[in-house]
Amino acid sequence: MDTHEPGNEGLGAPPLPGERRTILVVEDDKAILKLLRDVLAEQGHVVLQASTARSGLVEAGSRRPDLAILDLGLPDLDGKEFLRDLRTWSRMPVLVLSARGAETEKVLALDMGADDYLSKPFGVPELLARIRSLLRRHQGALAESGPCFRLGSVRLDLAARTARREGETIHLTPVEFKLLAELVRGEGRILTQSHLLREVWGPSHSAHSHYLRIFLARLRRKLEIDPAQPRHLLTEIGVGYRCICEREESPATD
Amino acid sequence: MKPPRSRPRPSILALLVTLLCAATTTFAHLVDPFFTGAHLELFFLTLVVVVSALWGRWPGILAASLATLCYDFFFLAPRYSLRVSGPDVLSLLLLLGVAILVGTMAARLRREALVARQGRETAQATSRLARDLAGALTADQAVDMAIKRIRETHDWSPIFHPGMEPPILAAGWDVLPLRAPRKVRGHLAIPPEAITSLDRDLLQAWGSLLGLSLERIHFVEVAREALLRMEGERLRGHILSTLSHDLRTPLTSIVAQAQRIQEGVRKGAPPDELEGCATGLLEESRRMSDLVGNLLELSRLQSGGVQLRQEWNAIQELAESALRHRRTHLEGRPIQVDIPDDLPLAWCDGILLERVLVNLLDNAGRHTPAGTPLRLWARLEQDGLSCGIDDQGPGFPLDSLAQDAGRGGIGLSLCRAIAKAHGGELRLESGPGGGARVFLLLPQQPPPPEDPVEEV
Repeated sequence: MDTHEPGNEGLGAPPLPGERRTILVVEDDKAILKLLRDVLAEQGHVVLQASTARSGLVEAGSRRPDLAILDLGLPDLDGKEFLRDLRTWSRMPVLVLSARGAETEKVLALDMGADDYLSKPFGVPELLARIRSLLRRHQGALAESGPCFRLGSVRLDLAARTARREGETIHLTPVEFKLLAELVRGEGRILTQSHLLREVWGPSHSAHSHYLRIFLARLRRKLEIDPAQPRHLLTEIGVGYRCICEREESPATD
Repeated sequence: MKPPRSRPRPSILALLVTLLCAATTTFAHLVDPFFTGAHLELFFLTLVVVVSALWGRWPGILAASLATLCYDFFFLAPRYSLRVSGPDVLSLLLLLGVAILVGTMAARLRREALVARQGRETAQATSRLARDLAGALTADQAVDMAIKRIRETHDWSPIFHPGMEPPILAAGWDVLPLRAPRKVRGHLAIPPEAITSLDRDLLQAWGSLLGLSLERIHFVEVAREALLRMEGERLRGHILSTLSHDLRTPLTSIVAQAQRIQEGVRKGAPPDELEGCATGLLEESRRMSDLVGNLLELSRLQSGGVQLRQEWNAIQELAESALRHRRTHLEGRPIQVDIPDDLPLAWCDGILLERVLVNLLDNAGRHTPAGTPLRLWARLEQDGLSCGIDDQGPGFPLDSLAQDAGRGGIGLSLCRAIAKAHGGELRLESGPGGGARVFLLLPQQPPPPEDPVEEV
């Protein structure tokens, strides 16, 4: 386990002090490990690396990173075992890497407590965007500030239970609101179907994925400019849904 | 065959014949005073005919003998004595002779009628069995049918033993080999209680019927497997040839671009030239990655190890996701999404169906001029759901449409395999604007799920 301190290799702009984070990469493939190390160091992060799940858990416990990137195909432990162990003592955000097509794996990992996933092969900008979003949200969750969100031109106030587009109220039924609130709280994080069904309809409906199809279609018709090509309520086929939204810190009065 | 009507046991039969004889004698005796000189022997003759017709030959002979005795004893002078005067001996002998003759003939008639009926029933049962067996699709089905027929007609069930070796059976059991032209296709074990009622010839005939039909099923299966193998090999050959083309093209380009970048950096080429190469490299790598993804999916599907993860999916969501994944590829093209709001949910494997749409979008993008519009549509058909892409490109050359080989390669092969796995098909047509229309037809869907619990 070695630490790669960034900064002295002349890669990109020096990081702002507040954005410098410690990121643990648990990955056994050398090429991908090198790529992640380089890219993250370039962003000014401190990179811890582990090539097995066990050593990854040791690193996570002893160095307390701000975020972990976990490959699901590790040689010693199943990625899910890693998550199960980690989640007993830490809430650090975990980004899972997996092969395309392994949707079942992804869903399992998400249900075990992973925060997001990225399919291989992935693009670097996408990776960085996910990491930024995870770190930001984690911080936000800790702060737990005013529950207002913006989806394009729609403002959603979770406390007042209102949704407005340019001042005009959008009528949402209680279930629609409950589902939307759950999605929005994920703030760009992918939420699995079973999670949403459990939270909105209760555990006895966790197999009724068609509820989600019907209600998401209704929400899109009410909230999206072009429901056929939505920009906020996105489907991750076979896994779940993701809501792209922004948190608004100061609940405006309108 | 079951005996059509069971005959009473011999002792009871003898008693019955004796009683009938006594009854006839009594009757003749009662009638005698009113019709003096009547031929009372005719009563006895009638008795013999009836007995023979009912129960066969030996009861007939018994009846004839008893009738002759009674006639002699009760009606011939001197009455109540077995002594016979001269001329009556002749008529008594004649009576006995005629009684035996008529009785024998009646008995033979009875037997022949019996045999004819049995024959008809046998033939009927055999033809029923043959008809059943002709419709059997699997060996199990054929065996079940034969056993059922035997149970219906014989009151017992044989046990089927597959294989060429006769089974080892408990004492008392008999074995019937199921012979077919090529080899013995199994054995039927006949239980001990069956041996007494066993009609060996009939069972043998049925056994060979069953054997023949087992052989037919065996060869049908062999032929089907051979066909599948051939089909698989043909497909594999086709895939390999498209594959080597589809993979080599991007690989060649990747190697070339990477070399140009390497060279350019060494020689200090202008950054925009390097960036151009890098962009090309990226594009080709992405294409390659899609290709490999498709290929993996295709081989997984074709190895038969894939279980469809079918659930209720909204075609709108599949389209949305596919378009999002292909946004960069389709830059600058107007894309019209034409899916009715009230389109029912589709029962399908969402991930695979999304792959179909992604591949159809790629395919349309590759084969039409940049900037031409695409239309992604879905609609309810009489026999299912259809969903596909229309483009405004040059369309299909007629000959390729006819062969359904078309353009495509791995992408369309995968689409076809996915369609097939869903029991549907991929169709290529000329679109309304002269362009190409490629679409997936999903077959009849299960009844839609119940509506969500609505809030109050």
